[in-house]
Amino acid sequence: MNRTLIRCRGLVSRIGGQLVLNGLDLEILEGESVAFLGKSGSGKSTLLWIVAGLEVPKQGEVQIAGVPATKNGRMVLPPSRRGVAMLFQDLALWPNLTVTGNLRLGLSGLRLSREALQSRIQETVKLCGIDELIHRRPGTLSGGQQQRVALARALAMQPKLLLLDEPFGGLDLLTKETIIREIGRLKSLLGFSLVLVTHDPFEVRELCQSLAVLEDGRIVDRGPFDQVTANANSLLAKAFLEQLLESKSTKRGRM
Amino acid sequence: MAPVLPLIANVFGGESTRLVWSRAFGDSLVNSLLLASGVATFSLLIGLPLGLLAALYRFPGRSPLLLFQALPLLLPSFLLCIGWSNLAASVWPTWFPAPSGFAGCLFVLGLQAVPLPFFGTWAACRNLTASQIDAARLHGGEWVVLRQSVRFCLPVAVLAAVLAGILTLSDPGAPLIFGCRSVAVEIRSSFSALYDFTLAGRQCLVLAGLVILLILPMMIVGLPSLATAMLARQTRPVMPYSHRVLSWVTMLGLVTVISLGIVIPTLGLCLPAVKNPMLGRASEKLLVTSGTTLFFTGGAGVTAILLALCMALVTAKDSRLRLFVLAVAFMLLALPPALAALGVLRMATDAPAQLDWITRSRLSVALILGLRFFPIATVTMMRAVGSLSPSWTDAALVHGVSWTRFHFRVIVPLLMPSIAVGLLLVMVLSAADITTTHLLQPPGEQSLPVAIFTVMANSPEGLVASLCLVYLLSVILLLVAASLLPRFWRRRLP
Repeated sequence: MNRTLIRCRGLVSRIGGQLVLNGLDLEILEGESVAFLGKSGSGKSTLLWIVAGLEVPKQGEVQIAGVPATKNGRMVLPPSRRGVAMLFQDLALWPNLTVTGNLRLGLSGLRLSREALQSRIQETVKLCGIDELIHRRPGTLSGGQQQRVALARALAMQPKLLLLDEPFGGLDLLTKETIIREIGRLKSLLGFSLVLVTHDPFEVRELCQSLAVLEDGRIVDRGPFDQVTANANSLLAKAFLEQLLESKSTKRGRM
Repeated sequence: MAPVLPLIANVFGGESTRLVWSRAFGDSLVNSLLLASGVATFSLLIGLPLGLLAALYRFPGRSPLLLFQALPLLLPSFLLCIGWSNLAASVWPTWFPAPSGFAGCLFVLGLQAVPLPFFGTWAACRNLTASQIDAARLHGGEWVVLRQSVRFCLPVAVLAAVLAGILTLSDPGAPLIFGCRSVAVEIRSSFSALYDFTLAGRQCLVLAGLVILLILPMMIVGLPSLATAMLARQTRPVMPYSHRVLSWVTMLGLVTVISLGIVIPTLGLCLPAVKNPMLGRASEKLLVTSGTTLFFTGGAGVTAILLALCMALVTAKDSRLRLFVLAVAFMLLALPPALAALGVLRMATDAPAQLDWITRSRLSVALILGLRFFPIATVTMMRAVGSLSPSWTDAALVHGVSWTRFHFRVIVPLLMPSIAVGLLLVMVLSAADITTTHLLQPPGEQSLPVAIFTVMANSPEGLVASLCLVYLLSVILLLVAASLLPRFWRRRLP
């Protein structure tokens, strides 16, 4: 049986006086892929930020592989030592650096030797299929290529958990499908866990085995994909299930 | 503010027998206040409509006209007054009143102040989104667009105009040349003609108190809207729109203001230089002063930019702190420059001789000028830092990139265009600040503008005009460089 990678207990977070997370509990297993669903403002992104260590909750605890990362409103483990990588909504590629520059700076926190750094970069660019882009700057790349570079920068860290914060928003359908399949392939190859924040049923179906539905700062539905969609408690999960079935039938119809 | 403390101590314990509140000082104060209100009104009436039209409509020669619109603000007022005086002395029609006295000051200082409400309105209008303007245009045409935009930009334009008025309170240049009583001239005479430091200090503190009284309500009421206009937001800004009539009106308006504000006074400066060119003596003077001018202005630029960069990075994530820093910055900018300069002079008198290298040197001039124009650099840097994506820093945190490495590899290179523009702006503005330089410069070290200011009364007109032209050309060169730098960087960074 897989061990617990992330354990969140009683997370409470406020933004500008408004309660965003209200005593939230969550567990993510090693190798698991979870999609966070919820209305806008339900706390999905905040939860992702807390897991990454970019935000500290007012109360509650986050453990990563059994080690306390955040406890009682205090950061215990800094973001760079959590074994977590993130694909941001706007990709957050540093625009003045080349692809290699982005990867190199991204790995600088690991303090690898020059040779190890070089071989890690070469290995990752080959894995992500961007070996021909290494001397280019992000501004000269297409949306899909930028996604691959951001993914390469994240995976070069060899993370235990990859967090995806609605990163496919600006892509056309075809590129999105390709990138999502690519992430799926890399996930099976490298075995990292994955958390996806999205509103798109296609992304969930392709990448995740389980769902967590957030409402009013708590998780109201959580479990394997089929189980949640069959016994949905929340209106959102039901609506999502309908949307998913619809997208499946449309796809079958097209085929 | 530290140099002000010894000044205050001296003012209360000083030995001057003269009363600060003489009839002459009272008259000067009233005159200065009238002049400041006139300048604020004049600049608002011209700057607001022009700024609005320039932001909303496309017109021929847009980039150079906008660039030259900023020029009067970067020049010392005495330079423009010399130009007008030269014209009045040689080619002025006898039936038309020549610019002099209060009206002359109002005219020249008003034109010089127009860029503040103009660019304030322009920046505020750029915060309206393209879709807001499109919606207004669809609902009722250009009239609705203009009415809505005026409502949106009015607070910022008023604040900028009031600031422009307050800044004229401390400017002795124009009143001195046009023979108009002003409090800045009184302070200068108390120090330079009467050699009464205590009296100058007292007068300066009265003026500072008045400035604080005027600017404080403005800060409390209008700072949030000013901050919104000054600091960048990530919206789709208004795209200039082609309109047959309004595009031409904008262009003609800008050409008129630039002609009156810069072109005609420059022609006035050229007249004696053409009649009696003294290029040899002018270049000698230039050679003697250029090193000092560069040291003063360059040192001021570096001081201001370093402080502003730190301030902008520290306040990047805290909007309340940003607002506080902006309020303090505007307050410092509005205070009379003589305040800090007299304070440093007092410190230099009391300090042991071993500290002369900091209190009576080129370094102190550069530092005080840098601190004076640090608000300008702060606004430039805050705008630049505000336009950076916060997720770049988040990505660096997740990857464990060290703070210094991230800032040197990513943030500072991305801020380079703004750093360069801010540096050039502070250099030009600190060159124009004759009060601080004149009071603090060590013996034998003169900057070019102060040299012009001191020789203009008893040197041949040809020499003064040649020096003025050289200075004007240098400022134009720096301004053009400041406008081209961001484009150059953008080309390097796709």
